[in-house]
Amino acid sequence: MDIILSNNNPDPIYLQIVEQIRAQIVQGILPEGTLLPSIRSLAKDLRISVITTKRAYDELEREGYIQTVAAKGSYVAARSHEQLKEEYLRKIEEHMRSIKLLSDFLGLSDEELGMMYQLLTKGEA
Amino acid sequence: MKALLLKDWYLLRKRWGLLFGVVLLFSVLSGAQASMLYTLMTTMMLLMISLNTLAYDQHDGWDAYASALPVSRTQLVLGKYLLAGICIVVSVMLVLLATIGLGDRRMDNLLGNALAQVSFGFFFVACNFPLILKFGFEKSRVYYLVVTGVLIGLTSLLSQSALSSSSFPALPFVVPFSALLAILLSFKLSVFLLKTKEFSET
Amino acid sequence: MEHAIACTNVRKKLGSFSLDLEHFCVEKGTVHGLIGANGSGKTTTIKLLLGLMKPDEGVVSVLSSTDIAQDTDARNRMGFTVDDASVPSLLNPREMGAVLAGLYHDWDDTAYHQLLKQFKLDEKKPYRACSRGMKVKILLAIALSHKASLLILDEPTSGLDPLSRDEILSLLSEYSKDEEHTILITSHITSDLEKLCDYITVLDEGKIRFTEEKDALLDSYRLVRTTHSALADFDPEAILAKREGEFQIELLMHKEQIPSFAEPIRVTLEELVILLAKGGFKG
Repeated sequence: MDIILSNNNPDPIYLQIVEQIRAQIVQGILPEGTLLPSIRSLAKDLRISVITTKRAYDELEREGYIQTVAAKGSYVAARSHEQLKEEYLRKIEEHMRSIKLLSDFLGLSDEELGMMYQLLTKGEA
Repeated sequence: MKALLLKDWYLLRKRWGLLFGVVLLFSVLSGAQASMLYTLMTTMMLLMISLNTLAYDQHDGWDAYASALPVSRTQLVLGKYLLAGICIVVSVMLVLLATIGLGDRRMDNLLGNALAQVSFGFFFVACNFPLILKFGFEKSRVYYLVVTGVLIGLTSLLSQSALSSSSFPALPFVVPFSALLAILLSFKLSVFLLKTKEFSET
Repeated sequence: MEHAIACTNVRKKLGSFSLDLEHFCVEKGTVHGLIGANGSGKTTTIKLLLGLMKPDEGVVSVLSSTDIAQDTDARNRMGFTVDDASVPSLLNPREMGAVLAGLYHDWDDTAYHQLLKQFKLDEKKPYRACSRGMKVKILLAIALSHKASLLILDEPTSGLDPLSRDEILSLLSEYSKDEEHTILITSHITSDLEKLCDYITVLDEGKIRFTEEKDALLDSYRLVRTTHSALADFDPEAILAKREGEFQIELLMHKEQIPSFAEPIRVTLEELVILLAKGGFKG
C-alpha cells in the first residue's frame, strides 16, 4: 500500500489517506481480503498522529470499503471492488445525464460534445 | 538495598584508595600510641568516606534520580545509614587488629576503644546526616565541621574520665546507649526530611 | 485506565513563578508533546509527575496513582529523563546496569546492553566523561530497559546532533507502536514533536495555552504572506496573529477564512508556536 501525503493539498490529512486508500481499493491495487497496516504503524511511518489514521480507517469503514475485526486488524471488504466499480459507473452515468441536460440547453451537437471531451483528455495527457 | 550499597561500592573503589591508606595509618597509630584521639580519627576518616558518597549523590543529582526510581525514600536513607554502620564496624576492627597486633590485649582497653568508636560514630552520623540532607553538603560544611570538632572533644574528655572510672561508673553504659538512641532518632528525622524534600530547580 | 496522566487544578509556586494546570491529561497509548519556552513550566510539570515535587493544590494522577512519591509500584512502570536528576557520574553504564537491575522489578538486561550497543556507547566509560549526547542516550537506554508502560521525558533531544535526534525519535516511535505504551515528551525543538506526537499542549508562563490533536491543529491553521499595502484587503477579525517584517507580513488564519486571492501555506508546528507567542494571538 502506498500513501503519500502532500503539503500542498488543502484537504485535511485524514481525508487524503481516505482518498488514496479508496482509490487503490477501487483500482484493484488492494484486493479484497488484504490486511491493511495497523493504525499505529501507519501513523508512525507517516509521522502523523494515531488519531488521524484511526479517523481515516473509521471513515473508510463507514463507507463500506474496509472491515475491522477486533484484535486482528482492518481488511479490504469483500467484493467491494465490484460494488465500487458499479457505484463509480453509476456516478459517471449521473454526470453524463447532467452534461446531456446542459448541452441540450445550449444546443450542442453530439459531435461538438465529443470534441470537447477530446480536448479535455488531450490537455491532460 | 543491596543495589544501593553496590552503587556506593562502585563509587568508593574508584576514589578512596588514598583515604583508606590514611585510615590504615591512623589505626596503626592508635594501636601504637594508645591514644583515643587517633582511635576516633580512624572512625571519623572512614565515616568521611560514607559522607562523601552522600555529597556525590547530591552533586550528581542521584538523590533526585533515585527518588523517582521504584525505591522508597526510607530505603534510600537506610542505605546511607547502613553504609555508615559498615564504616564504623570496619574502623572498630581495624583498631582492634592494630592494637592486638602491637601487643596490647587488655580487654578493658579494647572494649573501651570499641565502645568509644561506636558511640562517637553514632553521634557523628546522628548529628551530621540530617544536616546534610536538609541543607546540602556544601552549605552545611561549616556546621558539620563544628559538630564533628565538638564531638571529638567531648568523646576524648569522656573517655579519659571513663578510664579513671571512679567518678561516673555508669558512663560506659550511658554513653553508648544514648548514642544508639541518637542514631535511631536521627534516622527517623532523616527519613522525614527526605520524604518532604522538594527537588526544585537547582 | 483511560488516562495515563491526569492533572486537575494543579498549582505550584516556586519563587516568582507560578504553575497553574487547570486540566492536563495524557491519554493512554498516545504520544503527547509539551511545548514551551524556557521557564514556561515544562520541567516543573515533569517533576510533579515524577513525585519529585508536591503540588500546592490539586491532584496529580499518574498511572492511576495520586501519590507518586509513595507509590513504588507505579514508579516501577515509568521510565524517565529529567533535568537535575542523573545517575552517579563516576559510574559507567555497565555498573549502572548492575545497580538498576537490583532496583527495577522488570529490568531487562539484554535490552539494556542491546541499546547501549545500538547507541555505540562505551560500557566502561564513566558517565562524567561522556558528552551531553551520550549522557542522554544512557539515560534513555535505562528508561527503555525495564518494560515501562509510561515514558516521561524532559527535553531528551536537546543538545543532540540531527542524526542522534533522528535515532532517538525512531526509537520512541517504535516504542509507541504498542498501544499499551504512552509517552509524554517536552521539548522546544518543535520539529521533533511534529514528527512524533499525537497531541500537543502549549505551555506559556505556567499556564496551558491549549491542548490539541496535532494533525487537526496543523490542518486548521494556514500561513498567508502578504505585503504592507495589501494588508488592508484582509478582514482584521480573521487575522489570528501577525508577524511584520520589513518587506512582508506573515498572517496566521483559519483555513476557511482565507480570501480567494491569498495563497494558503501549511504552517509548521514551529511557525505556529512562534506566531502564537509573538504575533498577539487572539484566542
